Amino acid sequence: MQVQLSPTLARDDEAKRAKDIIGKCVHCGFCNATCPTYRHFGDELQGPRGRIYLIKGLLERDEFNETASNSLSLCLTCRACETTCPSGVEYGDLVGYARTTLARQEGKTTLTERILLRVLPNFGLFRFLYRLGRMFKFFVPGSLRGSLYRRLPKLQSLPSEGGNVVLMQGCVQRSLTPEVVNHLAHLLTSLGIKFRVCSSEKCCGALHLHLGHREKAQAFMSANISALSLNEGDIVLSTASGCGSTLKEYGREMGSEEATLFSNSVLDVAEFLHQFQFKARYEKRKIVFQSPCTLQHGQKVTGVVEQILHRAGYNLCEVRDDNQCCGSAGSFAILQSETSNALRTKKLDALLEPDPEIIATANVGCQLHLECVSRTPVKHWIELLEVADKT
Amino acid sequence: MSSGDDSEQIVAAVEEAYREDRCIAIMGHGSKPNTTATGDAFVCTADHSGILEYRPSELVVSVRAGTPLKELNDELARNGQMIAPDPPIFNQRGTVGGAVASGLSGPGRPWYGSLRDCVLGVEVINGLAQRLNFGGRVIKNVAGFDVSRLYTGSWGTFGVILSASFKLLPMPEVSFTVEEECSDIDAFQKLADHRRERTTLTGTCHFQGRLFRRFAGAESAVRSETDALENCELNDTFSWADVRDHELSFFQDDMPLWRATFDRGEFFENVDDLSSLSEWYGSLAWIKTPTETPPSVRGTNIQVSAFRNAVATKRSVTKYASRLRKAFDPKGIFNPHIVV
Amino acid sequence: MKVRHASSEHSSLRRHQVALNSTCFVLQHVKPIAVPNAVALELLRQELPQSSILIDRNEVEPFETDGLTAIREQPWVVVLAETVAHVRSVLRVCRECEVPLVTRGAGTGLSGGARPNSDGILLVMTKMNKILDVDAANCTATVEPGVTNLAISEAVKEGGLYYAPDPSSQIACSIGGNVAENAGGVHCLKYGLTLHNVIGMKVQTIEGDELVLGGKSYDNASYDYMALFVGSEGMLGVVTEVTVQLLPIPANQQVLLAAFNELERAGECVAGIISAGLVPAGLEMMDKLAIQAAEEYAGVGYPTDAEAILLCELDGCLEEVEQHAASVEDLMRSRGAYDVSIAKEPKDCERLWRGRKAAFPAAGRLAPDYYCMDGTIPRYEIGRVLRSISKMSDRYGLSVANVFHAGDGNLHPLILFDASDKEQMRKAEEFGGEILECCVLAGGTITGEHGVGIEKIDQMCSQFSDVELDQFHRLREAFDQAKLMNPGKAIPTLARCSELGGMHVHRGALPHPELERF
Ligand SMILES: Cc1cc2nc3c(=O)[nH]c(=O)nc-3n(C[C@H](O)[C@H](O)[C@H](O)COP(=O)(O)OP(=O)(O)OC[C@H]3O[C@@H](n4cnc5c(N)ncnc54)[C@H](O)[C@@H]3O)c2cc1C
Ligand code: SF4
Ligand code: SF4
Repeated sequence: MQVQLSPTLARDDEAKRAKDIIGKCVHCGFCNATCPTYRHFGDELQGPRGRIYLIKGLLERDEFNETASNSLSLCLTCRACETTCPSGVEYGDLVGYARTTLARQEGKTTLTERILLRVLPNFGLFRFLYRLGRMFKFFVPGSLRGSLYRRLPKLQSLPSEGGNVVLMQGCVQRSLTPEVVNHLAHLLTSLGIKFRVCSSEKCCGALHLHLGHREKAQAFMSANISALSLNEGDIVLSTASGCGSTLKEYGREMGSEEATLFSNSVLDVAEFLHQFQFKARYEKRKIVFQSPCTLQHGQKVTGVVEQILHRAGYNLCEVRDDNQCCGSAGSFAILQSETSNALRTKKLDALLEPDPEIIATANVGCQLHLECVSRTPVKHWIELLEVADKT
Repeated sequence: MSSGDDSEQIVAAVEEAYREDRCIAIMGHGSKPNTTATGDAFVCTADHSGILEYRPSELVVSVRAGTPLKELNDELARNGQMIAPDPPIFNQRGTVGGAVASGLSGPGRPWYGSLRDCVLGVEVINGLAQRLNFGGRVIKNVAGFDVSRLYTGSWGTFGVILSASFKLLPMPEVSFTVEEECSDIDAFQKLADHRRERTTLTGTCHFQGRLFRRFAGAESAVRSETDALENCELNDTFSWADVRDHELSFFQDDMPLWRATFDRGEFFENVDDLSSLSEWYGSLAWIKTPTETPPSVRGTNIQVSAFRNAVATKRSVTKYASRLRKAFDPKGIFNPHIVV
Repeated sequence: MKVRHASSEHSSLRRHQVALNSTCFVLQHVKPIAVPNAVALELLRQELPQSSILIDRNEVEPFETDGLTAIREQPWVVVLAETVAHVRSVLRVCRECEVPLVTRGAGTGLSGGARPNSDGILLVMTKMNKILDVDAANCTATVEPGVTNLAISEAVKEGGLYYAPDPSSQIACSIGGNVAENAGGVHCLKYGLTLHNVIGMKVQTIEGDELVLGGKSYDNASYDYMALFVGSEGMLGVVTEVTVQLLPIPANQQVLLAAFNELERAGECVAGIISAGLVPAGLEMMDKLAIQAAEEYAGVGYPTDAEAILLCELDGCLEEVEQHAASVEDLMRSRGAYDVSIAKEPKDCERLWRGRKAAFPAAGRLAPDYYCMDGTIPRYEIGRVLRSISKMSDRYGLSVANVFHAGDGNLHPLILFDASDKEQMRKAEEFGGEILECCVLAGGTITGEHGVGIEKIDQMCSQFSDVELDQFHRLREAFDQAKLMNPGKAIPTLARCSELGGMHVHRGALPHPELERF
């Protein structure tokens, strides 16, 4: 599709890149078919093709546009559309650009957004408020209350042994599900692999990026790049696919050589563990795997976790509509709780159809989101493994 | 094979009727009952006959309306091809135009589709005496409204069909008929099982307590299916053309005959002990009654029409039907006695 | 930019506008001045939930075009219908206030059929997407019009059934849109088009009537309204319910993939297969450019160095499939295929089709824009017509990717161009026109499945005579006397045709010179 860039954007490189992305779109509508929000609302304005059209409007007129803003705030950034698009439209990049532009044009952020952006990435503050919230649930707004079901686990610091493998701990994950990284550390140790953690690790920047606060996101990125100060050959392991997906974007976001080295070093933990043999920690269980969007669409890692689990001896069942988002999508679950919950219901229905004993996932966001309403336990897949005995 | 272009005379006849505000009845061979015309004048298409184009490799034939259906079928059969819905040839007569105008299909209807399904194009004369072409000789064509299929089954009320093109199918490699004794309810249930599976079944006929099934297709497939049947015997004398053309002994009397069609999944429950013959998984029943009183049938959405020696109940004309008719024939000159 | 209407109540003016519209069918380029109809809007607001009515420029803009983006026009109002009652309300408002109405399904049409009118309402059906009933025992399903084609097959898969017509856009297009266009697909050679698989429907006319057509019976004593409505491009009524027949999923299927060094040889092979009396479930062809684009997206293992490939699916019982596959393979080899491979597992077959089905949009990787043609020709002409197209391609200096339903003789040359270059755009249009004329000359038609819409309206003048077009207009008026539904589409006015071609000659003779030409 052709875009007539607004004269005010004629020299804006980012705008030109957005124009080029839209240039590839042939308006066929295939993407709508796998977009969770389009499927939910049945409305062109709530699907990727409509969103691309709205972004086209932004580029052509360069003025704030409420319709676009509403539509993009309902976009999960799950990027199912990108996987589906035969024409190779990079929707993820496009929506990133549009959100930044909208945030710039509008120039204000809602209170909830501001609180989220302030609290979630701040490890200490988050734990403090979370505990407070659990004590005074009564005062917590309804949309948040549901997420306070977990007891804050005790903190336990990981040994840092050097070596070229770095474990990212993630901000929310470190607060709420530290057992994942802990178990990974245990697995790595059993495998005889040395690793280190970085005490000054910051949020990956995903939250800010998704809400259009690009500069702040980039600040986090710079901080992480310098904190980890990687060398050629280092491997950064991410256990939360949401973070991993963003960590892999550092190069493109920042453009610097260091950033590129950084993102090239990042692996989702599945990509790394694939080479080893594991056994099931809960033998012969029937399980399903909920492949997070950030894993399958964001990082395009498909079938890898499934293979590991299968090889470990689990009875892994197929899941209907497995390309569909669970509705968690970073801050979406809080900012758009109604839609989010509807999507979660659909997702759980599909996951529970084969009647599994455990739901495995690969991202802390999805895990928490599903866990708070699921009677079937939801675990990170790492937690389902033990190192196989050498035979 | 007979051949001749009589189209100018036909157009002239329609023009005259149009100019002089007279009605005309359209006739092929006059083979179908209940279409006896009472118009002021006749247009007979019988002399407008012959194949216009037939390329066996293309599986398409174009043919003039007056061509005897039987001659066409024979010609196609020589090339191993057929008009799959197999329209009936009553009284050993019947033209291609008559077949299209009445839109009837033979015993293979549920499996091969209806006649309209394989009509690709028509040339017609409308009520303004205009000679029009719709559709064509290609398999797919969505330019303009699908008028050729609308003409199929319009009983001449939209005008004269001059020629038609059909999509053809290769004839099946083999065709076997199996026969067994079976009550109508059992027959119906047996047949219902076929629906949900891929089968080479291409015809069913149940009457006088016997069920006949036709299996046709690739020999390997037909054999493997018929071999698996129990309590049946092969019958190589049963003629499906006789079912189609009402040549079976069942039809050989003067009793009033009714045609009843049912929704998929329903069939004729013969409560009055009338004699009946059913086809199409039971969805089509031919019913004979001792008097001109229509048979009583139960179920949803049933259509019963008088077929022979009985008087059809007058049908009311719906708003859109009369408008459609006007759209083709503003003065109402064609077959005024027929209501579709 | 908020609501577009001012405070005016020019209903008499609007009336004039509409009259103008319906006699001379506004061209895509000449947008009529939108005169807002405050009364109509007020009525809509009374009858429909506020959230169903979109009027802000930013809200309606994404609805300005369908799968053919070269043609666009912003609708005055968009209504997202959720129920039949909503549809009927919209129809009533349109009738009473004489507002033009365009119905839109999923907006994947390739002929501009769902392009709205700037002074009209766009009625969007995608929210009506419920499966109403599955009658597995009798192999039928009844659905709302916004249900996607693929969703039907998915809903009945458990019961071992599927809905046979599968347009390449099946993942996205709606069954209502399929009915309106009589959509075909890769499996229509054996199993027929939408027309052959839809057995009943409910239609709302602009006069306020609900027509219940067809049903679960095998034939109907009335006129075949279904045949008229299927493929009528939304001009006769709004389809609000569709009943389709389902087929049992074939027990066995095999897909043969044959690679050729010459495009024409592949074309001739198609004619060979058909004339051998084989009826494959699907028979599709792709040329080099299309193969490369599809392979880049789908990575299914097409030979990217072949000049053309044929995909041929056979289904049925095992013996039959094996027997036919062997014959087809022999035919392919004897007609010049240098390599033939066979997929037997359902997953592998599905994979081979996936690349084919994504081929149009994948062509978006080859050039900024493509223009998809849809002519149908007799199959024995495929080789010859492809050769002509490739000559034209040299002459116009624009590449063409060919990917099409070869078994049906339904060509889809995709003309590749860059719409930001005005000269290329003009050439592409001209090129397309020439291809279609070539199809008509070869005894074919200008559209096999995508419909006329706005795109091919001029070519209708070369395919039909004035009296035939006139007959179409009279048929349309039988259902929509005010000509409010999808105005300006599918059937050109005689005025337009005579303007176009002077007095164009049809099938060698000037039709009815006595006829008045307005
Ligand atoms: C990549 C791609 C591949 C394609 N491949 C094929 C193919 O293989 N075969 C094929 O046949 N087509 C194909 N198409 C074309 C298109 O998908 C079909 O024409 C489809 O049927 C359109 O459906 P839709 O729901 O998108 O309808 P729309 O585009 O929204 O509308 C099409 C027409 O239908 C009318 N309409 C829609 N819904 C209704 C309703 N409920 N009542 C009355 N009128 C209605 C509209 O007014 C319009 O005139 C393809 C398109 C694309 C983009
Ligand atoms: S990212 Fe997800 S929610 Fe957003 S448009 Fe794409 S598919 Fe839809
Ligand atoms: S699938 Fe790709 S090309 Fe098609 S509309 Fe969506 S983004 Fe555009």
